[in-house]
Amino acid sequence: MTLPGDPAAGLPELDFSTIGPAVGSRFPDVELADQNGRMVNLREHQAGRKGLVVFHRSAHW
Amino acid sequence: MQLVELQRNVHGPQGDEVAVFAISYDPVEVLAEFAATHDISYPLLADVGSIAITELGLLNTGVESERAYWGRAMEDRHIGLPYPGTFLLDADGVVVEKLFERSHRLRPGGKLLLDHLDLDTTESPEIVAADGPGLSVAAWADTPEYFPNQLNRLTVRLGLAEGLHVYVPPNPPGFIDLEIEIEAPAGVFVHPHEMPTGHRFVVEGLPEEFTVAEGEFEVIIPFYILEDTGEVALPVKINYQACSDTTCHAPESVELVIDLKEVRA
Repeated sequence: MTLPGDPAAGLPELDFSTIGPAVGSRFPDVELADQNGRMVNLREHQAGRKGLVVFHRSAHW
Repeated sequence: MQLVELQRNVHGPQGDEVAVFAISYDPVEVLAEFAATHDISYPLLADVGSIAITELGLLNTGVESERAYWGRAMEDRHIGLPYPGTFLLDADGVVVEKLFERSHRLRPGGKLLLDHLDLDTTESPEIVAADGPGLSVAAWADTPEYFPNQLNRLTVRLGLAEGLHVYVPPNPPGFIDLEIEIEAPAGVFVHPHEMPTGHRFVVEGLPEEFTVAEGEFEVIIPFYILEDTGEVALPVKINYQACSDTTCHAPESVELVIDLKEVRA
């Protein structure tokens, strides 16, 4: 979304509906290490709850 | 800051209802230090080499041109970044919504994400109320303690006295439509908001048709606040003219102030 005063407003628009897993599809079963070094399987960890999968820049900068 | 906000406003109050995952190319050691510093207890996942990010089709291929837009050069750390955004999943893991941005700068707040998942925070909002002739007003922010650059929302609930209505756009010139004015202080950016749809109203003997709203309804106003803005007093002014089927009262205004305090991680 673009809000007034957003300096990013001049960036080209992107159609995010075509980027990454689509609405209506099952999110792929990703398995990665967490901050404790334990392997986390998204599907198993979600355990019947609703889910938020956030893609962010970095926790370092 | 987004990761801290998710801990505080989503995982903390609603961890039993919603599973939060954050994915980046950071290695475990970086994530471990961040989690310890900020008490993050939901999974911060290490996609070293951006392998999953790439397989999911989320590798941000526009970083170089975005850097050029900001007048900055590409650095090694910009390689492997995902598009910044959030997938909202139902309990079966099906994507029900995608909230993505072109820039990492502006992110949806936790309360907004919970609302989109049809969940609610357990905390009661800090309601500010004021009354005008024939109209009661209650207003609150998603989070009165705001995180910079997180999309927050102001909810304004309006309640008209029995038998009264207000004009809402569109109406012929000369009629006073309901209007919510927010004089945003420096560092605060307010999104244009939609007024209620209203319904058709005809006054016997007048050629024009009008649009009016009655009863109780809410207007949602998105906004965000830049970093280091500090405490904010957000002035909200509601202009309206309350009318019955036969009589219109004088135009009135109701004013209130929403106090917001910056969270510093």
